[in-house]
Amino acid sequence: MENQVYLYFRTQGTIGNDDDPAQSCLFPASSLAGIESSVSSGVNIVTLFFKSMRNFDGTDQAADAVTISDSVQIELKNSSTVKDFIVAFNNQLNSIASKQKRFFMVADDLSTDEQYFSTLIDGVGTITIAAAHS
Amino acid sequence: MTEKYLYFRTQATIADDDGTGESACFPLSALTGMVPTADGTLTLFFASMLNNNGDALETNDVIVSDSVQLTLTDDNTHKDVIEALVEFFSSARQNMLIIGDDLSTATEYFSPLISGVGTISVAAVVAS
Repeated sequence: MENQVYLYFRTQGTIGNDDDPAQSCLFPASSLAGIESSVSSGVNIVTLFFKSMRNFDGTDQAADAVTISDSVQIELKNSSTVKDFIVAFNNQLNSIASKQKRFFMVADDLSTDEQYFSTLIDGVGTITIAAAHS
Repeated sequence: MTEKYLYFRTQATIADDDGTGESACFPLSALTGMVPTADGTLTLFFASMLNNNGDALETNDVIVSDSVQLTLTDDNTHKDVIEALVEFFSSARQNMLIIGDDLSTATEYFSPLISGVGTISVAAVVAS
């Protein structure tokens, strides 16, 4: 896709431990399946769901097997609302789509160089990449 | 819309570039994501080439994504490589993007950030 934007997330704070799929990931924006909100211990969390990286449009006929989405949790600051995040996220996505460089650094918890596209974000929570069907 | 295509070859000997797993080309639109899978390995996933939008009908049939591993020149530089790849996707003027070619006589990588192509996994076609 010519104008595809790619979304990057890292929850790992130590560079030497950024070595498996639960630490960081990149998805094409076209894989975004939806965003939902939750609260854990008083922290507002938005979860971004993506079409499965390892089972894209996949199926599994084994008993009780299912194809599920991957997900990334974004933890918000106390003063931030989920709607604020969604509006900011969409604005940034549209802005990047019109640029030459389409790398959208959504959130990076690297301790030596934390980067968040918005001040609404406090950090990255759990990154879940569903295992490949077997 | 002009599609771009990503090329990978892990086979170093030209005469042995003759089967699945030696080299592969995917449309960029088939890219489903990238994740680190080791300190020195970034894995790219693609929608299945042989089972695109397919259905598994037999017991224990599965449809999974294809994948290509890239070997990083320096450990834990996954983000740098990801950024360089995305930049290459949008800035390259040609449609055929050589991401990595391990051919011993003409090694070619899109960036000095990678030093090789690892395993290329193209899922087998689901039998009918």
